[in-house]
Amino acid sequence: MTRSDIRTRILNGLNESATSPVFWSTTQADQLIAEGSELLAEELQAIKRTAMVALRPGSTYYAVRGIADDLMVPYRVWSAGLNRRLTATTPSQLDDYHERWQTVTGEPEYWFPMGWDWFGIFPHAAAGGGTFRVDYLAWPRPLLDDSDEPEFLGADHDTLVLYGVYSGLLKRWDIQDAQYVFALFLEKIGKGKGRVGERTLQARAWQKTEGNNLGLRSSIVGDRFGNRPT
Amino acid sequence: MATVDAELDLVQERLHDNAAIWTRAELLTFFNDGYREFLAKTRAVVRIHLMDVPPRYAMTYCYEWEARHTFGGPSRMMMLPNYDATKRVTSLWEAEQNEGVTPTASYAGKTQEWERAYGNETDRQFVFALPANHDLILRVAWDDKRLHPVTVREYDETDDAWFRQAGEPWWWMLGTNRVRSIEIYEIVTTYTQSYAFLDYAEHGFARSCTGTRTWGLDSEVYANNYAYTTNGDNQHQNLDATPHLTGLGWRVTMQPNAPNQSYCCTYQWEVDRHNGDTLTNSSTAQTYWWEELHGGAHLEFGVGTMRSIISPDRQYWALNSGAATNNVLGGIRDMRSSTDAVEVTHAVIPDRQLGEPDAPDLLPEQAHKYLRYYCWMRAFGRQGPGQNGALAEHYRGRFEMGTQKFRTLANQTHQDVVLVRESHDGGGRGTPPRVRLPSNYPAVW
Repeated sequence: MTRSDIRTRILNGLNESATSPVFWSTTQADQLIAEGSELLAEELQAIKRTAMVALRPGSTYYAVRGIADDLMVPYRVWSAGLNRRLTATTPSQLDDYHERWQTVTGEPEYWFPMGWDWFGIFPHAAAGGGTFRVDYLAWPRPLLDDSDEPEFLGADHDTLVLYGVYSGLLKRWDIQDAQYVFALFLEKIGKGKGRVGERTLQARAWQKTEGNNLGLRSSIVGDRFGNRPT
Repeated sequence: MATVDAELDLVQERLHDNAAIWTRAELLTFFNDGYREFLAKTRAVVRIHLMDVPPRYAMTYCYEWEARHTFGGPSRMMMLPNYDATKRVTSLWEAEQNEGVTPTASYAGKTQEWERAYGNETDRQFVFALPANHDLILRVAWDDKRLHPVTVREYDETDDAWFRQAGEPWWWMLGTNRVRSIEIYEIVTTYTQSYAFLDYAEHGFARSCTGTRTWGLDSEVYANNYAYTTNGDNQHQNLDATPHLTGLGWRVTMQPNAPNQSYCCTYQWEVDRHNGDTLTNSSTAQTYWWEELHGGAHLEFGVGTMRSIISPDRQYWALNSGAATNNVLGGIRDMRSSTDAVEVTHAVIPDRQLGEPDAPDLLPEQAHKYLRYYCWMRAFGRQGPGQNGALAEHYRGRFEMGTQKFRTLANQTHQDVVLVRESHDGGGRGTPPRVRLPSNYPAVW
């Protein structure tokens, strides 16, 4: 759905004219779509981006604002020098590992959080040079015009419509109807999470359990010694 | 980043109120409360605070009423109440004197911790005051080494005069002092100041630095875009609606000090002549910075500042102070090192009230919607016209959703941690239960 399509559906849902709404301006409706997109991105964690960061000499800490302005949270940090994923750890674990870990230099092997807006790597580079790659969950980019489409899967576009209707009802102080629509919105988010989760699960390797008779109906089990039917 | 006034416009829009019921000032208060509440609940913003050893305070005081004038800055009550709190003392003998007891020899009294570097042994606690934005301590280190948290009781049961024990710091505690302070033991009395600002009052914030390490500066010291010669040029630039020249201008002439002199001189000897002084040698006249290449003086203008410092030895990490639009563009107001210093990693809250032109920039712009929810929660929850309990409760839930989400985001590695199951044998499950004896077990006295 384009932004125009979503806006039309929202205004229809609020019993407003899609072309010349009385209680809404086009800008306000677009703001609701933007806010709903932010919320959807936070909940579904579906928007992913990658940034490359240069290793600066002596630097342990990196500000996420200096990496990308749409960075919500990194989920993978990968060293280009080592061709290896950095292991997630905490400052507390590093304290246990090395008394003065902040002074240790070398090729980074670990990364750790420092609040939402910066993180650290260990060990830190002394000379600088080289890069690490940050894969991160992102907030959505602003939609540029009415023909622009949100990045979410098509089935999640309806969720944005629901959020817009819900916010419109709140603006009317119609809390009863708003709560009903909000419940639908949350339900859609649940399904959206499922879709995002399925994409993750597909990448995993699965195999049947090797346990004796485990999970099989008695009628298809070969014999009581666990031999499978041929 | 959206400023507070833009956010309050959105808040008013949904309240359908143009300050008739909820005044703008009231909504600003709600917004500030929400900002503080959001940061306190999520602990999403973590900062490092470094303190020289022995600690320094912005202010020390002697009477309770003086605390009113510390404005939440790092401060400490240095004198202690005595004689039904009608008198204040720094040394124990003073308490004896006040109460009519023959004074005995006691340790030295102090009014600033740095006095430890110059004076006799004292029995005062070794207290470090934290800044106004402090909320929760996550880690304390000295000289890059983690200190372990202990309690006063644990120390009391271990040693008799632990608070006078000099040596290397190993422990930190909340201690016996006021909020926003910690104590470090063992104590260090050698004075170590990491960096000292030179001519701060005269020249403003730092534009350069010197030291023993190897480093490189990234500094934008602006060059002049144009040169001008008289006050008339200046007035023309200021009064004209569309100035002919833009950027940084530099007046290349000098004016004599003697009265009734309106000359504009290009050489120092001309100034001397009009002032009636002895003529002095003058440097080459110039109009632009690049004329330095041709014998002109090196020009430095009072604008621009250090933007980054890179060193192979360690990181120079810029921390913004918060509470202003684009405050990361400001200058360096303070510079500290973790070497031989106390380093506190703590979750912070805003240290001042935002005004409408400010921006809550400790948070990403995407979090601003949760601050609006908080405003609506408070507005609809307030008794009087416009009160709507159901809406207030709904917005409270939305605000809480946001705090939970950001608490998770603040732990950035939560997406990347590999969890493993506990071992079958129960190893690593913590302390085994204590032995329980039957009630009829014979007691030995």
